[in-house]
Amino acid sequence: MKKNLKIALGFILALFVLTSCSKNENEAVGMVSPVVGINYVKALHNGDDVNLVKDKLMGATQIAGVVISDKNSGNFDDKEFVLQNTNKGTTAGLIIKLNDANTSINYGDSVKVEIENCVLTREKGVMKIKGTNLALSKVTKVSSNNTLKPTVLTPTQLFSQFYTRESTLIQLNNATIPNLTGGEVFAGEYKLSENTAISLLLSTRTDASFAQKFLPMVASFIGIPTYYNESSDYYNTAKLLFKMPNEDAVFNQTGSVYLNFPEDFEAAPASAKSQFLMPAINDKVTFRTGTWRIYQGIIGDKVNQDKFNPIGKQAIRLQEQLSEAAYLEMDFDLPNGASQITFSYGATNPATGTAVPSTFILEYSKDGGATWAPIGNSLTSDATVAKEASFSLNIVGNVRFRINKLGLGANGAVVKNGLLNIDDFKVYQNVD
Amino acid sequence: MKKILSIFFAAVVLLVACKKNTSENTPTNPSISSIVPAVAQANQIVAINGKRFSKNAAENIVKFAGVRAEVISATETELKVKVPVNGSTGNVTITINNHTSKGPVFTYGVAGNDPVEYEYVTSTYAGSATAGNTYGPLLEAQFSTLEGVALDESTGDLILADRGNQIIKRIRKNGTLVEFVAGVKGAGTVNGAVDVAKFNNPYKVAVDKFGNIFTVDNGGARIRKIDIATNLVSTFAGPTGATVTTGFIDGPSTTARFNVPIDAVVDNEGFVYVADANNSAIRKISPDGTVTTLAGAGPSQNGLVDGTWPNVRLNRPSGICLDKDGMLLVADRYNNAIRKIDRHTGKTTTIAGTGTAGFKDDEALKATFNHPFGIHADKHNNIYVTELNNNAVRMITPEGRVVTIGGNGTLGFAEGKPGVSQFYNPTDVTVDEDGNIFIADMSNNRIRKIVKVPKI
Repeated sequence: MKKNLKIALGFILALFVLTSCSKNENEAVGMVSPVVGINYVKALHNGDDVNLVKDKLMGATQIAGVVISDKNSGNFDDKEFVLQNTNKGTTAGLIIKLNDANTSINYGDSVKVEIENCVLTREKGVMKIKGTNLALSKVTKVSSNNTLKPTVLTPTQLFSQFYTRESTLIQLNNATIPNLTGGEVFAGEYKLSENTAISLLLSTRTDASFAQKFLPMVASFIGIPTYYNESSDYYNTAKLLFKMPNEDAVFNQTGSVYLNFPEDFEAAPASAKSQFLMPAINDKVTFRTGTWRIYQGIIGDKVNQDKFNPIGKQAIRLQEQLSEAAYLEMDFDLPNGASQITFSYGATNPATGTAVPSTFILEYSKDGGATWAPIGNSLTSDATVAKEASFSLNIVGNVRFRINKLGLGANGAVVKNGLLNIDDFKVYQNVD
Repeated sequence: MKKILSIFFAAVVLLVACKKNTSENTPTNPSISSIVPAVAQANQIVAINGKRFSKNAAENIVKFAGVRAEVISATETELKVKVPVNGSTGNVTITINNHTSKGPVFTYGVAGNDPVEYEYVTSTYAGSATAGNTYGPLLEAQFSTLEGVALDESTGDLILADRGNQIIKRIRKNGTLVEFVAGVKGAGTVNGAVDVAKFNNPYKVAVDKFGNIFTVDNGGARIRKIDIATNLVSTFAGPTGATVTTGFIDGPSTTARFNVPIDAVVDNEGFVYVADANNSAIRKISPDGTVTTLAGAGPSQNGLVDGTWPNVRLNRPSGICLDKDGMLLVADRYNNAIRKIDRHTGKTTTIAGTGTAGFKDDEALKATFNHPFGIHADKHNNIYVTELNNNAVRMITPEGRVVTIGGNGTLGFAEGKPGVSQFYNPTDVTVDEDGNIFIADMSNNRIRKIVKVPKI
């Protein structure tokens, strides 16, 4: 055995020696890909400008990718566009700086760019490819109107990962712009997080098509992370900007929360609604936001059973195993429509045994509760944890809401119709 | 064996012979072994130590994350360079005659309050080389997997959780001895007088403003209280008897259950906050013992989600403290992140770490940690974090920078400056009112001390 091992070892060593001398012999065999990944190109930059000669690009002369800036929005330099591609799972982007105007390359175009003998550089902090010969004619359009799927991050994640996310398409969901007094427009720079440790600025040029539109307090944004350094070309001391490609990149705009919301169902004692049906009070109880009808429900305050926000002591508990609907219903209208609703929902734990999920629908009424319409799909509670439901809405004028817990009947192998907790009901006004 | 060696030698000779431009088998690349200090600001002069530098200063091309630095003076083993204004945190590289080598990471920032004047030096405060259970003079005393250390602010004493011995010990302010507080050697759940009571793996301790000690009995899945006025040990929350049951149950003291609790802290109103690791939750205990869940959602509900209930997720939080503003800070171990939690509302944010394991000093949310386990904030809101997998002590400055002040990434036992000093499972940290930093260096069975000293 030992001998075999020795022979094998010698053989491996011999092989190693042979192969180590064979460099340069096979390089001309086979075609080198003319296209190189953007992440590969970016990695070449080590502070100084890099001349993109062929042998630095593994023999390639082109980069390919999808354009994520929109020349029609006016939010970008008219000689530049932002290109990103995904190579071996890594998405990277940079700016292509032409020496003539970009008249034809648009958002969603898939393009190839001849970059041989161009220069990889950072200008005002941003990584770009530029060159005396880099004209629009060096850009070949492969296809148009490609669907762009942004990477969804939190502002904290984007801040942490800014270097690698530079010049790629990112989506920030329900980002809060703090300290707005109302009436501010997009033009300028606004902080994109309430977290003071994060300096991330939504940046819009004054000549952008949407520069004079009103800024939402909370919204989801799609944008391109980019550096801006006023005094030098280095990124490390630059501001971290987030630039929307165009006007469509803001959605789910949300106004401020209605006064006294979120409703936490704490203002009345549990004894105020201790029976699932209390016809003597029409099943109505007044909390901090107003009067609510709790039909086939109680105010639940059992620790480890009712899933209430632990800041408080109570949640609404709707009855289980009914063949009729149970309701938690606002007995009042909100005047300014609704842009978003959030609330918590969870399966109440029974005194013994495990929790059983149930299914419900959020509904709204614009006629004082005479008729109701569903919002979105039904939701099913989780047996283990409370979750937050969030609906983006665009309802104007008077509106009220209710939870309609479906009367699916008795629990069985198929039917799951357990107790349901609802807490922290929060309605946002509609802006505009 | 000889045969193999000779074959190997021949192969090496052949290999070398294949290399271009190399006539002898001595290395030609310069190499950087250290940068002193490794944290500094632009325009400061730092020393780069290593080998094969050019004595001609101009031939050494030194770059800080790609940005060229001016070389002031050069010998073959040391370069004095000026930190470039526009460089950034990252690797320092050196190029001489087209031979480039990558050096260690240099961090732009302020080490301590003034990097020009201070540095951090680690020494041993108590404990000796061998594990044991010996009281007496600090450096002769013995501990067994000492895991917790907390400051009694009412006296300035250090309270120690000597986990392996199941005994709570004390070092008085400016004291020279390790003294007994409570516990009989050997695991147990017995309450009563301090010389009768038994603990079950007391991981860490918290001290209230009166000097009462709360021990986090990891093995007993309960929080114990040592009443300093009566010298009696009782169960503050969790199962009371010999039977250990774990769970994720809120409610009155005796009903409540924990699951691998590790650390606790007490606020001025007497509320105790517990890092309940395997419930991935922060539990809040009222002065009457009633337990609620402040943040996190129970066993296996692991995640890195900020916000408010019911969305917040943690991943086996293992260290907890209060900062000077009364905010809770949590060493969120498996998230490799530091979380900040409002102790009244449960609102949670991430203040340091990226969520990915690593050992990088940087701006707080770009720096990386590897299993942060102990945490403490001093009166200036410097936050100190001990890490199991980096075997290091990190500091988060009030300006939001992470700086390594102890440990070099390798487990071991060594005194001295950052980059030299070593720890072996630093589990907990506290700071006295003079700013001395004390580390429970668990697997070295010692209390280590880090002091900020003026640079010479």
